Order: sequence, then structure tokens, then C-alpha cells
Amino acid sequence: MIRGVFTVVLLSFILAGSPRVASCEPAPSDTLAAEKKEGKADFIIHHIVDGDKIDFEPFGTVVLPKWKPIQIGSFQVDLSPTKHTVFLWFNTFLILLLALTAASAYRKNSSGNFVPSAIGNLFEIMIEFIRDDIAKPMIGEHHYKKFLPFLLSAFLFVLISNFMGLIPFGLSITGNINVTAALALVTFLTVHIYSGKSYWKHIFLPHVPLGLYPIMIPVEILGMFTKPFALAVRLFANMTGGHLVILTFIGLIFILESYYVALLSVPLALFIYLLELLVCLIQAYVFTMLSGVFIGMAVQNEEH
Amino acid sequence: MNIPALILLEGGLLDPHVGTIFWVFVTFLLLVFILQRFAWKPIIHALEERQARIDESFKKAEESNKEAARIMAQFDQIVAEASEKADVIVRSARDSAEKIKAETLHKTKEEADKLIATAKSEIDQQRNSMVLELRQEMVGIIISVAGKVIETNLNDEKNRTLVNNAIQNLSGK
Repeated sequence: MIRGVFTVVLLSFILAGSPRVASCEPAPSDTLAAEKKEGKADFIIHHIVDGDKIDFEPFGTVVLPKWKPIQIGSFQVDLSPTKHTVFLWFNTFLILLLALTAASAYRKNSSGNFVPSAIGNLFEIMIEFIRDDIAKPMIGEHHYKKFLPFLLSAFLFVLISNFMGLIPFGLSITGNINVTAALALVTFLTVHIYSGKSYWKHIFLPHVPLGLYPIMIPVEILGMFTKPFALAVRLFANMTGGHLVILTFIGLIFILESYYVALLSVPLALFIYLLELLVCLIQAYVFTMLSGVFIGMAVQNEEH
Repeated sequence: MNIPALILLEGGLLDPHVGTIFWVFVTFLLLVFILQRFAWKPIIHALEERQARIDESFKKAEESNKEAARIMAQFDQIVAEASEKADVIVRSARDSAEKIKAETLHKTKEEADKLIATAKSEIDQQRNSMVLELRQEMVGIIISVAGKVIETNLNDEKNRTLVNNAIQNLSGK
């Protein structure tokens, strides 16, 4: 740690000969061109929002193909791949690779009568954690088995997607509200496809005096949608927030146009980065656990 | 660029994009189904089997322990019985040995007594016969001695008178 700080100090002194950072060209966007002064921080938003180019600077940029939008009624749906879509598929591929590798030994020997490999052990730990600490207590002994695959997949998907944002050239697709919205949509649909009678009764015939029905029923109906909405926004905001803070700390160097800022902003960015490691894990857990809670509320039969 | 611009403008943070939602939805569902079929199911199955096997092993171990304890108790009982039996056998052996000893002693004593008695009677007999013999011998000796005495005495006048008297007495009769 001390050596790292020392290196940063030394580097900044070497670079002090030319302490001015070459100012970035603002993006040639119509809306942003007018605001030239803030253009230096453009890269922050450019890094976070979706786009049709994948940057591997300084190795080049991949421009993604543009497909013709599909017309559904009066809506035009653009299904052409974006930066986040490509990473979505890459993540999916990575997850499949990991999971199928881990599971190959179990497919050959279904009795589990062998010493698990390292990756197999990792998956066993994850499965047992999700099963025993999320699925069983949140959903209950009777129903949890049906939802375990969804919870496991959601956890692994969110986890890998979060962590992808922490590696060079990677980005976390969970920092895109559309991605988290789609995941929350899956939870929403799961909840409402498998919901039991008591779930609907709880919404339309709540245990309150009749006079409160005009208030309670709209609140409960609103609650149906706020739960997955909160799920989506929570994940999105956490992932975006962390990245924004890291990029802002780095961006300060360019905004203030001095290498000396790096003395403070790089350690701070490193600190946030380490915090992000924690947040990535926690958010994957929180997403899975809340999905489990919502499913559990929907499927349980007893009145409460 | 101010905050509303950051999130609300075209290409901003909160820009809805149906294509992305669609792709994530489809990909994620596919992922769930593929993982369920090829990853979760075999691993969970193996985990459950392993757990069942471990539970069974524990149960078996407990049963074995119980069985071992039972056998141990049985064994102890057998040992106790055996030692008791051995005690009885030793005691009876000692008893019979003592009996035999007493009997033998008794018999020996009897025999010795008999032998002693026989010897005593024999000794007595021998002594008696010796006494008899001695007496006869002494009678002979005495007679011979007496004869000699008498022979010498007869030469005397007195004895001559005596004998003459006796002869007279005899003839007087």
C-alpha cells in the first residue's frame, strides 16, 4: 500500500514537467456540443450508457451492425445488438461455460459419490447457500424446489454481470435500467404465474375494515408493480452509482486539468473499486433474496 | 451537461430500450432453462444423494454402535458366566481332592495300624516262644545242675542216710 502511494507520487513528479492534461474533444453529439465546458467529463456517461459501439481503446472500436427495426402494430422495435446486448451474450456464454464445466462430473456420476473439483465445489457452495439460506426460508419447504433454478440462475447471472464491470474492457450490464427491468420482469411474471389464491385475496380482500378498501386495494395493486420496480432500480442504481463515482474520481484529473489530482483521486477510486467488489456480491444476493421473498409471498397458502 | 440531461435525454441513463429488454428477457429465460437442465438438476440431485448417503451412514454407524454395545454386554455376561462356572469347577475339584486326600490318609493309617498290630503280635509270639524255649533250656540246665549237685551230695553220709531212709520208707510201705 505504502509502495503504491509512493509510486503514484513519483509518477506524478515525473509527469509534473507537463502538468496539463490534453483536453478531451467533446463528443460530436448535437445536444452535448453546445455545452463545451462540461465536455471533458463526457467519457463518464459514454462509459455508462448503452451504445452501438464497443470500445477497446487503444486497440480499436467494434461498431455493431444495425438491423432493420421490426414493426409491431404502431411500435417500432429495434432488435439490433448494442454494447450491453453483446456483453449480455458474452456473460451468458461465460456462465454456461462455467456451469456446464462444473456440472459435467455430476452428469456422468449422478450419485455424487466422488470428490468434487474446485469449480464443482464452488458451485456446490453457491447452490447450498441459495437453497438453504434463501429458497428454503423465503419460499418454504413445499414450494422452493420449483423456484430454485430461477433463483440460482438469477444469482449467478447478476453476480457475473456485476463483476464484469470491474475488469478492464468489461462493463456491467446491470448498470443498465433496461437489463435490470427485464430481470425484474422475469421475477414479476414468476410471482404472478405461480401466485396462489391467498395472494390475490390479500390484494383484493385485505383484512381491513370495509371502509379502507378504497385506499387499500389501489395501494396493494400499486404494490404489485412497485416491488419489481424497486428490484430493478435498486440493482441499476447500485451498479451505476459505483461506476459513476469511480469514473468521476478519475474524471477529476481531466476536469481540473492537473496530474496532482491523481494523488487523491486514484486512491479514492481504488477504495471505491474495492467497495464495488463488496457491492457486486451484496446486490446479487439482495436481488436473489428479494425475488425469493416476493415469490414466497405469492405462493404461500396460509393466511397472514 | 447537467443531471436531467444525464438521465432524461436521448441516450441517457434512463433511456428505455425495448430491444435490450427483449434480448435480456429471452436470453435469461434460455439461460434458466439450459442451466436447469444441464447444471442445477444434476448438481442438486448429486447433493441430495450425497446428503442422503451421509445421513444413512450416520444412522448405520449409530446402529453399529448399538449393536457393538449389545454384543459387548453379551460378551461380558458370557465371561461372567464362564468365570462363575470355573469357580464352581475349581471348588468341586478342590473338594474332591481333599476328600481323596483324607481317604488316602485314613487308609494309610489303617494299613499302618494293621502292620503295627501284625508286627506286635509276631513279636509277642516270638517272645513267648523264646521264653518257653528259655524256660525249657533252663529246666534242662537246672536239672543237669541239680543232677550234678545231687550226684555229689549222695556221696555224703547224710545223703546216704537220707536215701536209706527213703528206701526204708519205700520198703516200709
